[in-house]
Amino acid sequence: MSTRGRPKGGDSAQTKKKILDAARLEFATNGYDGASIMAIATSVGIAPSAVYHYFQSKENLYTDVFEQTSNAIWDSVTPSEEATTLFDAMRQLLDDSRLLADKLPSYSDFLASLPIEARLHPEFSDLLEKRADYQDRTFRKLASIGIESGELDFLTEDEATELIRSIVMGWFFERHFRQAEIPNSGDSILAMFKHLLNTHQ
Amino acid sequence: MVDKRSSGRPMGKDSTKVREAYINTARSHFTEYGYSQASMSTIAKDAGYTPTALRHHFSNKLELYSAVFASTANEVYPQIVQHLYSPSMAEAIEGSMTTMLHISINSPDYTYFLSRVPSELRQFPEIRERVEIRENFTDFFYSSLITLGRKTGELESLTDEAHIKFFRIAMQGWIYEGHYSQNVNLTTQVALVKLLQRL
Repeated sequence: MSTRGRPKGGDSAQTKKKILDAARLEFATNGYDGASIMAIATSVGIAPSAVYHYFQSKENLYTDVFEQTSNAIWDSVTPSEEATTLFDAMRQLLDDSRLLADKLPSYSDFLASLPIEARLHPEFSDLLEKRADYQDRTFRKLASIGIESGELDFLTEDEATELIRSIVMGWFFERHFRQAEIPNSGDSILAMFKHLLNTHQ
Repeated sequence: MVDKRSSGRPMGKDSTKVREAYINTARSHFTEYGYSQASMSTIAKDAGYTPTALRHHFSNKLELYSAVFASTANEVYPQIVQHLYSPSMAEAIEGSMTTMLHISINSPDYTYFLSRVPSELRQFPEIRERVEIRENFTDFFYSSLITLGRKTGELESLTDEAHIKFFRIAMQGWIYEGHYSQNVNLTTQVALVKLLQRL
């Protein structure tokens, strides 16, 4: 009696992940409308019907790619418990972001295209809200570290949050658009926080 | 034979009006759909003229995009530049960010179009030559801002050149994030001004 293929369980999870990876690249490259389930299926080596088996619709697939991508990024940039200064937390954030970008290049492309897709497809506007939530949580946490340590104690919590948001997104977008960091941009951010830390009190 | 040139209205006046209508319509199409998906025939129809008439003014999409960029930059950049004449870097930051906010509220197509340029550039390198002014202007604006801060002494305590890029990163981040999240406010501006005072 010949074995009829590998155990379904493990294969299923792996296939799902492969589809998500392929879909992220396809959505990032061609946009939601231009993305082709056929192309995604082909690159994974399965039939289009198999893609629909896992994700029911293109819309569901897009939403799942978003969830998976956001979780990966925002988990990795959440400040660790050990960071007591904004300087340390930011250094960790920048390093982790660089690692993630190297490991998974289409992550930033996909996330950066989300607002454009949401404009064209109102059904994705709740994803934009989720993105805003992920970001807000991270930036607020960083802000409170900065106020506690004294680096940003001259600002209110809202002001510190918005400043950190602008800095992080500024760094992220410039790197994303140029496909490389502006030289010393990371250093510049860290140098400012170091300066604020040193001149505090 | 009737001399065809003597028939019809004078080209000059109408031609400018038509061109302007195309540019304004094209600006909102490029903003909404992006360079790739925007269609010349849809733009022409939306502007109330024929695709043939559009091609008379702009031979292809790149030419049209180029004209929209030039018109947009010429409208927006001078409004920002004037704040470089402020007596302090803090006021220059305050003024320029307030102006950008006003433009994004009153003429969102203008600021949104400009903020999409970097992402269009990534996908369509042929645009690069046509939008060079943007990079030049951005560099000029921030280096002038720093020069002002050095002149007034507001940046005196920052001895490391590395500190300087901080302001550019923060302000550009505010611009991009404002458009991407559709949520613009001036809290970052307040924070930057307080930061300057703190230095």
